[in-house]
Amino acid sequence: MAIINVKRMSVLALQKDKEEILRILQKLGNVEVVNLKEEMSNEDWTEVFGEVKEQQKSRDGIENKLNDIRFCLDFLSNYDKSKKPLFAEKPVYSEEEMKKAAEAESVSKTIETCRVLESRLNSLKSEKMKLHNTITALLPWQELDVDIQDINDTEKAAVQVGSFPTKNLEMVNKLLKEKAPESSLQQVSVERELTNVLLAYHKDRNNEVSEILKDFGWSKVELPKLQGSPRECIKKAEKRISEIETEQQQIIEEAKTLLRHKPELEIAYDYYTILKQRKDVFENTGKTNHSFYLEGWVSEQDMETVKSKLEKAVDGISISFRDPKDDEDVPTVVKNPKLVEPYELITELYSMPSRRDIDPNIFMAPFFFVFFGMMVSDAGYGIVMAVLAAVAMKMIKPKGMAKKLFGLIFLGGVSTFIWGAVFGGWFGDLIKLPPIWINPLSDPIRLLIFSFVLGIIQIYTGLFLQAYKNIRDGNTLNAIFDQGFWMVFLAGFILFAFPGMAQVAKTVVIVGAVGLVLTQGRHQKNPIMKVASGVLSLYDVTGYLSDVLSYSRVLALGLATGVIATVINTMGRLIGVNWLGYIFMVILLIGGHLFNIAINALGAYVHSSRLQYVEFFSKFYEGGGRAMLPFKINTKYTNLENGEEI
Amino acid sequence: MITIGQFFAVLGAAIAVLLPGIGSAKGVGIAGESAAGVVTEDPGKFGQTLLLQALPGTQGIYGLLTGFVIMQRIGLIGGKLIELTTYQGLLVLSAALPIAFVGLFSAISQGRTAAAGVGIVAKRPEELAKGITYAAMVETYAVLALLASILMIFGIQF
Repeated sequence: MAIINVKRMSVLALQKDKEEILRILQKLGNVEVVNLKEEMSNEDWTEVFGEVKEQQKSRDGIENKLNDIRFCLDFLSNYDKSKKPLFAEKPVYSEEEMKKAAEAESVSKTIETCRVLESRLNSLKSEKMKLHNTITALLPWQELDVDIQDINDTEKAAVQVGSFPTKNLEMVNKLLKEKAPESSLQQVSVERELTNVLLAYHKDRNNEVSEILKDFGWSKVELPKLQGSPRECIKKAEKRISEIETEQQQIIEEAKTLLRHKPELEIAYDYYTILKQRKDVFENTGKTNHSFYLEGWVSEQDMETVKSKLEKAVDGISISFRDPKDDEDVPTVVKNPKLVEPYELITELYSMPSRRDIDPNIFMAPFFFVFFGMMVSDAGYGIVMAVLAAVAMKMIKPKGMAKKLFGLIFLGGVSTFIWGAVFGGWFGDLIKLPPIWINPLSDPIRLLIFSFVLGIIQIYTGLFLQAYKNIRDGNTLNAIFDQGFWMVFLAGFILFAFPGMAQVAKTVVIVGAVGLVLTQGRHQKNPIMKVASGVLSLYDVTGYLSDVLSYSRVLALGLATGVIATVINTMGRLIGVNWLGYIFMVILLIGGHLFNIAINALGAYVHSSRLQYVEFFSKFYEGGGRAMLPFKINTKYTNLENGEEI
Repeated sequence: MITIGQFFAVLGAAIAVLLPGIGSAKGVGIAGESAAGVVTEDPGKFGQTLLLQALPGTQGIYGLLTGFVIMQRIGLIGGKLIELTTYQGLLVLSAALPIAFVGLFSAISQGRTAAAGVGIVAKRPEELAKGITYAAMVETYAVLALLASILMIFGIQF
């Protein structure tokens, strides 16, 4: 029950069996295939396996199919109004069924239709946008009762539209009359500081007019090239927009009818994903004209299964195993009892154990279990959490991380129930049951000390584990000096807490302190530095003190849950005065307690984790390992049927 | 007849709710701004960033909790306001101070740490737990202050 040894597996087989071998490995899902191309130098690779090109093509084909289906599913999901159930189990299919569904004509037809519909929608959308722009451009000119086509220069006259700053208009009018009497300026509309005008003048006066225009901030406007007066054009555009909108609606309705093909598309998506993963792994293997070579990591416990399954299915396959070399990037596999398994998540989120580490999960799990329960500490809340998690596990049948998470919530609920009963909290004070042990509010100090005691036990566990690691690695002296003396020294301080032990305590502290002073400077060469380092090391006691005090959060968060629950109940009682009040009271109680569960479960998770990471792991755990990434079936919408034919 | 002692005690309850509440509002705001930035790029990270945003909110709850305990102890809720001497009132006020001030400042700092954690999630969503742990380090001091305040309030004899 700890870190499992990992072996390097080599498989040599005939090229024709590769599909079958990969299919079996993927279904077993416990081998991490090594990328040989990355591990070997380019020259070596070419020398052994020659240049490889073919495969690429069929993989691209699969990728294109996946992209098509992805596009289609995304497109359809825009119009899918059906509600997804909260806890839904994925449908199960065999590979044959999946293949049949994925290659059915309806899938390619649906993709085709989706493409057509989408491009129609897009072109309609851009047309609509253009029309909107036209309307915006024409809006200031709708009072102009002239065909837009006629706003053009004639042989003798220049005609244009544009705008002046309103404040200049009077001046422009005056100057035009003076300098170019053969001109007209028709005011069309006013927008804030600008006045839109239609200007016409004789071409002979071009120079004078240009001068005026330049001096008074004229800006020419190009109207869209359309037929009819601006007002008519706007009307036409608006009519077209409403036509477009009905057309869009029709297309959306059509898309909705395609939704019935969604399950097939999802199966097809998963099917091609499986195929693509297989091809990806195939890229990582070596191959010659007739043979095929694969290397991978497999844990000791799965070794025999993999070997026997492969040998049974494929003739003439050669499989061998060896221990990992020191410079190899070996993945870590941990194995724990079922009850501890969910807690692996907490460690994984911190860092996977490296090969030198002890698997911390089995030591950490009981502490996490207890702390989580004490922090939420309400029997009612515990039942709610455990039941919800159990229902979710039953309905979804989650795998991997999600399974561990639900397991964590379930066990957290159980612990919360136990501690809630111990402290007498049943939805706060809603159900008045006497506590089995103590009521935290009436005797918080006793519980504070209890929290510290749990903390001290955990810190000592950490020190023992580090000592074990040192002894295991042959550093028995380190274990005695670095962990042993600290344990003695700290034990002395703890003894002070017991009445009548002062004398013993003093002796123990002195023994521990002398041991530490004499040994902690042993890495220094200079004798003065040896003593100085030894004495200074005693200062680390503040670290242990703050570690222990940190466990007071267990009490504080437990109190918080209880008090907030009481607040909710009190508010409920204040409203519950008549029948209307009772209705609101029930809503408030349910909503309030659910909120309290959520916020406190989050708090308890965060703070229990912190106690493990900062106070516990710091004593012995290194981490820095890498989780195994087995080659397995990884589907999104469906599950592949297990068992048969492997 | 309302005494000065009662006034101080109620002031204590008020300040315990008031300051951490302000702090949490600010902290949650800071984290929320970052979170919104990340979600514009990747709406799928809503759940993870929301988790981080919620963390600086606890100080406000601790403050409310302390205020509520004070109100209950002095009989403001579910009873009659008890007689309090000026000194008793001042004691209650003092007991409210740890969570009031530590709550205020730690919530803001935690908001900043959570915002930085949102930055982690933006690039490496699998490292969410580390962002949460950093933010939780800040909250420690609010938890300690809450503990001190609560112990003091229960320790005062009326």
